[in-house]
Amino acid sequence: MSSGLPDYYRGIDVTYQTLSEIINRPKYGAANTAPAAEIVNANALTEIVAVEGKGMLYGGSLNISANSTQRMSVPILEVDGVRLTEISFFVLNLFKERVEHCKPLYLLSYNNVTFVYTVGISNGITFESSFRVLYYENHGSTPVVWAGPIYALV
Amino acid sequence: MIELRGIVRFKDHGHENVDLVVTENRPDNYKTIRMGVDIKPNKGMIITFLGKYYGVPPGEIAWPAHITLKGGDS
Repeated sequence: MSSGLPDYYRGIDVTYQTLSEIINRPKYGAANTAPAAEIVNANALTEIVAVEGKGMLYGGSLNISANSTQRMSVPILEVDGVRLTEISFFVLNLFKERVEHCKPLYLLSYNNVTFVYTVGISNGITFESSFRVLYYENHGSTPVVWAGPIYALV
Repeated sequence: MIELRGIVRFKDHGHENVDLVVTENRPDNYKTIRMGVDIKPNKGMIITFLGKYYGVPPGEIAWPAHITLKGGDS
């Protein structure tokens, strides 16, 4: 009486399955973007983008063009429920945090005369369950915030 | 088999778009689907939506363990 699994139940066996090669490579997932634009609430936290899944951030930016100063307002990147960065534009500029990877959100543009501020999203931030882009407005006004994270979900 | 890989919510001038990222029958065949605008989906709503979208029963929709919805059934 036969016993055990049929012969075709076996693991990867290059010789048995006459495979010429096996390719072992990372799974990148599908690249995607979430182009958001929102008039944020004054003196409050506003969620701009929320992604649930598993993957990696490739980059992107968050731009603010306001009618008055937003220097003490705070762009926030939250990954897997943890706020990785919560620093105002003023402090980012004060310490010249302008190089990618010095912070998850690093400063690209700071102009407290024309009220244009931009932070970039560092490449290579992985997430296991979620990430969110938030904005805390600290000056009692309602500027428009544009956010465009570029990411992949596996 | 249709497998949910992500839920994307982003604000657009006062409205909130809700997108679903799924894989269709192959683990590398990704697709993004607009589920709706200004909705607060829970797990049941998403599975029902995908079932109707693909014309399959809810049991054919795979839900990964790492996606948990806030404020809904997860």
